[in-house]
Amino acid sequence: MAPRSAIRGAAWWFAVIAAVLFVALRPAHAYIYHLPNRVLGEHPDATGDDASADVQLAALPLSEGPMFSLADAPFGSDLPFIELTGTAMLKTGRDREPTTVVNVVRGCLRCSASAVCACDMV
Amino acid sequence: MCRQIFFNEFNQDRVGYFVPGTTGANTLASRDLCCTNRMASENICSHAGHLVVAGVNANISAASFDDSDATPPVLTAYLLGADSPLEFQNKHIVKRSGEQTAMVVVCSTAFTITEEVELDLVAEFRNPYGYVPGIKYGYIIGYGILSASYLVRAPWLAACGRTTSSCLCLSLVAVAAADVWWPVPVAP
Repeated sequence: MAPRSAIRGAAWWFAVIAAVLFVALRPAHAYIYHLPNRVLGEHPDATGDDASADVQLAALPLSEGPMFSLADAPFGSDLPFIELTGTAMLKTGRDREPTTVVNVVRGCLRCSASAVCACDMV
Repeated sequence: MCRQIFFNEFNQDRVGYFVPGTTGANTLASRDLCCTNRMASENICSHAGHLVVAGVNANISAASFDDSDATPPVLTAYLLGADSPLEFQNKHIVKRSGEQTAMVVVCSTAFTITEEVELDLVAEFRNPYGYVPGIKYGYIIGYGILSASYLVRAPWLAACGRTTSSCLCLSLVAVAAADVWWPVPVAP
């Protein structure tokens, strides 16, 4: 049987470690998804025409299931959002002329022809 | 070309093209997402290399649950050479409750080369009350009460640990720590 002091010491050390873990691994951060070093690619066939066979390699869908709109939320008053932040870099392929860097198809309010694009798509 | 699109369960049928005759159900995973030269020549979509979205660049009908729902917003970025990483920060406001999806799609414009794009990505799905997913919001109140009960009992747990040698104290502290850690739905 372990001595009393050892059990007491273990309990207190466990409490301290739990407190440190609680601060370091904040629950909110547990629901923010970090996806480093994901490679997406497209591999067209020899004719350069039909890429459909491998087209799914080109997509990375991210879903978290149902979300509430502000009107439907049972509580809370912040605007619900999905935010994607990160960097994308061409690994292979030919170099291109540095003309248009960002081309917004629809709904992006603040984008410029630079390497950085910050949009609030409402 | 790197594209990001945001859609929900009501307008997801607008994304991609389901080739007639394809075996299996018409789901997002079974559709062609990028417009190819062949599809453009057949007038299915307008520009090869673009993401196929009905109502934006595709002449296809989408069997959406609700045709009045907004067309999914698409953001397009052209990638330069390997020495020019593209930084992005795109926020989409959720206006309608339901299943939400964000998707990053890489489409080639030239169709003559193999392209690979390396992504470093952080995705946040935030509800009006915090980051806890919508399907788990019911836990918040229950675990909040549980957390409060452990706080109330904290002095007793401390006294227990200092005055007795029972392993019960150790297990109580462990259970309390595990329970309190999970539920706090506060944004950072």
